[in-house]
Amino acid sequence: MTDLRVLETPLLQGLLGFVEALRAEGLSPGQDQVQAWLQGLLSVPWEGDSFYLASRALLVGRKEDYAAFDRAFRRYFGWLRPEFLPQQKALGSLPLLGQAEAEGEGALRGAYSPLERLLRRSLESLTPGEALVLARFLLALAFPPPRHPARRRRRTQQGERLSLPATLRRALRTGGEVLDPRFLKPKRQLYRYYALLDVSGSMAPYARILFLLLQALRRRGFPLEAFAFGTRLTRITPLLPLPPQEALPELGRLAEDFAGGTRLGLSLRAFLEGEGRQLGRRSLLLVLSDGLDQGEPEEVGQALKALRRRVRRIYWLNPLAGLPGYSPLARGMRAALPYLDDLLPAGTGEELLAFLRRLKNLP
Amino acid sequence: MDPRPAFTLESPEAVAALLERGRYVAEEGLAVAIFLALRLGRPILLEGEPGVGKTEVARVLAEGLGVPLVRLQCYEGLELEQALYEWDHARQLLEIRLLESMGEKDPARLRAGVYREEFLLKRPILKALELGEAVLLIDEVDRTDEAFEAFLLEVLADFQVTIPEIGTLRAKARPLVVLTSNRTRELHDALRRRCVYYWIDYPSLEKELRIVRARLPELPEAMACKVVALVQRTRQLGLLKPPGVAETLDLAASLLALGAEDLTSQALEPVLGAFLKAREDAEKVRRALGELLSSLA
Repeated sequence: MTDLRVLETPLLQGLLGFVEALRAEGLSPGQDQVQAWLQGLLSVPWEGDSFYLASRALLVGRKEDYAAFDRAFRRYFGWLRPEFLPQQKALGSLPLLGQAEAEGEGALRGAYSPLERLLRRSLESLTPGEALVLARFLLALAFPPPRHPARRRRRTQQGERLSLPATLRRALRTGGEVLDPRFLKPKRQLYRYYALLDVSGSMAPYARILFLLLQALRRRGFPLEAFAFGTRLTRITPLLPLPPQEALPELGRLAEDFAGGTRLGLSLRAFLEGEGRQLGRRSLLLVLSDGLDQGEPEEVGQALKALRRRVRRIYWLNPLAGLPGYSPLARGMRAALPYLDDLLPAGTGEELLAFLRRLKNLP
Repeated sequence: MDPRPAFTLESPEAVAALLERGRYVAEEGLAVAIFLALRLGRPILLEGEPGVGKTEVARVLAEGLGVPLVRLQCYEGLELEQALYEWDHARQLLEIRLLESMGEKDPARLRAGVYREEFLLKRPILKALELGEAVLLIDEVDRTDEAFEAFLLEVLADFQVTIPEIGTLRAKARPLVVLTSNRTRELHDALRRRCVYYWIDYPSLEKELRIVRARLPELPEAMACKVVALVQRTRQLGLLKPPGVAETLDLAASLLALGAEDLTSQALEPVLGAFLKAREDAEKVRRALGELLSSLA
């Protein structure tokens, strides 16, 4: 029997959440069934319909429960069998229903656990269900937002520097005897995160999962403001707490309004004008875009230059940057490069994971 | 330690290919379910309307895997003796006579002499356990009673049978167990939970056409299309016993045997019985036949 320890705990928790979702629908798979389900998932490919079909075969025991299972599956994974969903929208919108493409992994396939394979696949090729599993996995892995040391200090019972005033005040209570020394410790503060998500046509296959990543960060407690941009900039922070099946269509509608175009410089300028005053040394700016731009590259450069002075770090996450032989040739990307702290690839689950680790170790 | 599953196939596609070789056209979901049953060593419970090919799955699987198919047909009043084992009383009596005639008087020795494995009549479940590498088909499990179901549960849980006179017989490997049900009675949840489950639906038009083409390659394609389309329409008439895939094949084969050139009401009249098994249904379809046929054209 395949060893269940292959499933890492966070993923396991993400999967077990689905069992809860089933219970909410009135289904009650037995412990034995859940066990078999987890084991079964280790042996089927997660591409295409297999994940859905295998889950249904192992967790449901009668035809009448198929409907309830489908509801739970849609709610939890935000996705359902293709034939149950309305037709895919035209180009330029966020496809809710991505068709998994044939893979070229060839001989390597099967050499990894499903999780590893999922992490290695291009985000573009993930079905919405897989995207959600991945997002849940990332959420489970995501750590609480890191705090960075601020200039001010606070008093604590232990720390690096003795706080003489506080110690003496304490000593007064005990007749001048120093029994309870007080120390000072640097105050640690949260960063504020600003994410600008490109939802234009060329980013459509990635925007969905990058949005899920933002949701994951938000749910982890990151103080995150999110904006979507194409030809204009729109604040999407209110969408972050919504369940994916409500938030994603909303995001798709937004992308449609932009009619697929990108005006990078204009959007950055709009962000600067709208939020510039709130920015500061505690702010981190994340731009999630492939850098394909229809506007003027100079605008991009100018806006970023101005932003650079107002925020602590600017990171650019580019889904294409991890591809072999990638060089930042897109005009917008090239113009932005001098002002970035780093250009990070964001095309696979692994790369997103690397980004999360990066966030954790920020100075 | 549980016995290991007797066989595995590497992927759901391999299962689909195996079924295809046996000329069984399967939905992806069925292939996935069978794959999981093989991989996890769990029984598979197939439900569906009569005639959608539930039993056929087991037959084709056994053939494809190259192992014997052991079949237990369930019916009301099925007793353990018919499912598991029985002592061959007649031969035991003869043996006792024989032993006595040879001067054996000790009752203990006599008993030991007759309760041996060679006097055991092995019925399907025991036979499948003994073979290990086999497909055990427990057909129409809904026709038995709850008591038998409870017994099945026990066997399916640990794949061993205890015979008081001999001891515990354990399967060397887990046979693939296929249970089918027509839902004449609701099965107990405990049994359902122990199984991989799949509901076999009526096939889509394309799929049913592929089935007919695979089974009756000599039938002209145009004719096959019409037959399948007719049956698919008929299923929507709300009949008492809607025709299954088996009935489609019967109908097509009958038309072929009669040498019908085209699907007309004259050609259909003598073969209606091949796919409509209730008199009321035949009447209903006969009345609607003109309309049905014109809608096909």
